[in-house]
Amino acid sequence: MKVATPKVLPEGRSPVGAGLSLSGVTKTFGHRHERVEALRSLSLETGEGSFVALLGPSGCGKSTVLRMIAGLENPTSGRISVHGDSPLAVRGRHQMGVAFQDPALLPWRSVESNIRLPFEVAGRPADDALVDGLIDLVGLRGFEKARPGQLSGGMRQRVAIARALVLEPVLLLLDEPFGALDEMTRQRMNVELQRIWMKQATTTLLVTHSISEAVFLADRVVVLSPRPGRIVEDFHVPFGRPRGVELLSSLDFHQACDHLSTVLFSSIGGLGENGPG
Amino acid sequence: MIQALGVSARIPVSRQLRRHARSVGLAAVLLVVWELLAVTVFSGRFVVPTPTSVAGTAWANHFFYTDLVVTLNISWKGWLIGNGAALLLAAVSLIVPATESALITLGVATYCVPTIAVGPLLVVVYGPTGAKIAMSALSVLFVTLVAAVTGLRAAPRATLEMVTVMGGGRWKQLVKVRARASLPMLASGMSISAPAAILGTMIGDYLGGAKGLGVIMLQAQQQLAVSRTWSIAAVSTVVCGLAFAATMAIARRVSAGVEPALDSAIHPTPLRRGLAGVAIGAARVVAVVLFGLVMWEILVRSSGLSSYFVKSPLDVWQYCVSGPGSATHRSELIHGLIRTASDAGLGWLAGTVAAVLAAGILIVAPTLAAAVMPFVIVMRSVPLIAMTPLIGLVFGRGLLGVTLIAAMVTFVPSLVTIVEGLRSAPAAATDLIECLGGRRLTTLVKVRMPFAMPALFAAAKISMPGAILGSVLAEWLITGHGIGHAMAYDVISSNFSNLWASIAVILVMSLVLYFFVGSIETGIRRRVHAA
Repeated sequence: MKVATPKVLPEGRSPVGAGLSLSGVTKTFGHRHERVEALRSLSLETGEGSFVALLGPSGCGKSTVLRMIAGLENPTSGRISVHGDSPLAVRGRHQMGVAFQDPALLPWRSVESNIRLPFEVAGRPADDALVDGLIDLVGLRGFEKARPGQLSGGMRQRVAIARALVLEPVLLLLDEPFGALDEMTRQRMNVELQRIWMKQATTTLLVTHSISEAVFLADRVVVLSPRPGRIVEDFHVPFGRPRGVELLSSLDFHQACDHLSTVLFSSIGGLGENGPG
Repeated sequence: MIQALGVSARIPVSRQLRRHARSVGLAAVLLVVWELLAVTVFSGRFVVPTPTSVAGTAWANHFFYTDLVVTLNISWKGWLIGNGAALLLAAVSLIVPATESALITLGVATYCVPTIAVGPLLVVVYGPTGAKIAMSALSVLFVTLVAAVTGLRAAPRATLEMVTVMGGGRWKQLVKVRARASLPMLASGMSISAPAAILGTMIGDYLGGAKGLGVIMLQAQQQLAVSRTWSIAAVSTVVCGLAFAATMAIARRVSAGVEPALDSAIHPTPLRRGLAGVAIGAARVVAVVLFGLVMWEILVRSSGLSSYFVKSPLDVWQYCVSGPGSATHRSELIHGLIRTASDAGLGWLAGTVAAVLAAGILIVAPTLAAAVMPFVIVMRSVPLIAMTPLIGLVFGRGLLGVTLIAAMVTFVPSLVTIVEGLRSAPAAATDLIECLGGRRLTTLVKVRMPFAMPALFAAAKISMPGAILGSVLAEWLITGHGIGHAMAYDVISSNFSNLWASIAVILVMSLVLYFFVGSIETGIRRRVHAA
């Protein structure tokens, strides 16, 4: 089993060895008559242990990118590799962690038992110390025995994050994990996610439509155009870690957000309309 | 059990064609296998004819045209009356919510009542043709009532609140919002009830008559006319399938443009938890039962019918509990009931286990499911209970025949409900297991099966009374034991007290099972959908 080495990463680094690699990925949905091109010739390389955010308007296919990396969908053409392996191989070794907008907790299991689920799926004995540590890490001490129905939306997402990390994955995929939360909870969760992520520094892809969330969390922000999705900007975030809430009100942060917002709006404006929801 | 039918509504034509091609191919293979088996394994036993000879017999008899017309002529009237009554009850239950549990119980009772046993009494009241129409209507009522109530409740809450804010009451909500939103549900309910109406008529035919599909099927079985029995069964099946398909096509057109309601949009009446909840639930059931008994007594007294045929609750009480000879009557009833219940129970268990296994296999092998599911949906519209004479012919008059009827009546509808339940697991949860490197079997065991538990109990709630009805009919028509046989004897010997008592006992047992399993279902549903 591969154990992630805790490391604090210097800013603007470009580590050797590919983390996530997409080359010429195209995705078309539908059959002969009703074809919809979701993504056109997408290429992207991210470093091992880097945190990349995929930013784009609704319907630009950013979730499709994530689903293809997770092996839930196949690209129509092009190649995807994770640390040099196919997504399915990584999945087969139980080295992938995911969190969706829907926390997808199993309602009949307690918090602890939900976090332990990946061990059962992998057919490994559960590492109780690790589960216990994660409960502390995501701040759910005292709620171990609670059922999802008794938790708030934010707490459910914490469980989902802990569950995504419990197998010490080499790849963490986050699809708008805080998309359903209110703005204040969302900001708090972002600060916590960063703290948690810094302990393990797993190669991470975050899909989001929130500019400030992308800038706050990621090393790199990749902006997609409306359908068919293409990369229109690859932005290196110039802030060191750990990033605190005070960053949110700094001028640099606002300038970064403004820049991305201009890129986003000009890509949408080029079409003369908003992408379909 | 009704949602399943809306599924293929919005799939591109090319894909539907391809899927149908696969199913047609499978059908052809099955027919060839049947032909081969009939001329080899079953050859010389005369119970399983070849498909070609079945088709030949149907052709030679002009597809039993005159009997078919008689049956259909009764069925459409029954369908209309049953659906009308169901819609009326559904609307009343919505406008006067206090009546809801009583009306639903009434609907369940029409489903649980052994139609064939009520038939002779209906003949007294309505005459032979009227009785068949009534039996057909009775077979329809429950299906449409459930669909209508579920559909009417499925209206989005926000839209209903809009009407309230505009100053509209329950009636405006019903007319402006609920009636329209209920269309998809209602449409599939009315389609399922089309073959159900034919089932009711055929069971009516078993009581006698000059013409009708049921009449000639029973005759053919009694004469051991193998090919003829099979071809009448085949013609009935095709007609039921066509009735289903035709109503479905009309229903789809009518409800086009109305999105089918999502389960999440249905807000069941909140129930109280704990001891207080159980007490309130029990009190409600007692109230409904008392109400039913009082209504029964009043109806009997006011009908002016001879007390020779029609017995009131007090008469039944005297017959079973307080009157002379009641101990003997009681022990006979209980004896027959135990026999029937054990046959039905065995069949139900076999049918349910088979349905769970088959559902699991269909989920793990989606390609197989795509080819097989259309058959299962069609099979569900076949009135299996009405095939009793055929089963009797093939499997004989012993335990196997009865058990098999109960098992078949259980298997097909349960399979559909359980597959739907297994598929109802949230996509995020199944995606998650896939991302964690789990196989389909892992997803099935860890996620889909727990999410399908409410569906399992929903299926049991419907199939338990169904299995009992199937057994009663099989005992009435083909075997010589159980409470069904006793009732057939009661009709011949004009022992109406015992007939009424038997109907009451069967009804009570079925209703208790229905509501008991239903309460388990509600509890599990709450647990599964807690998050």
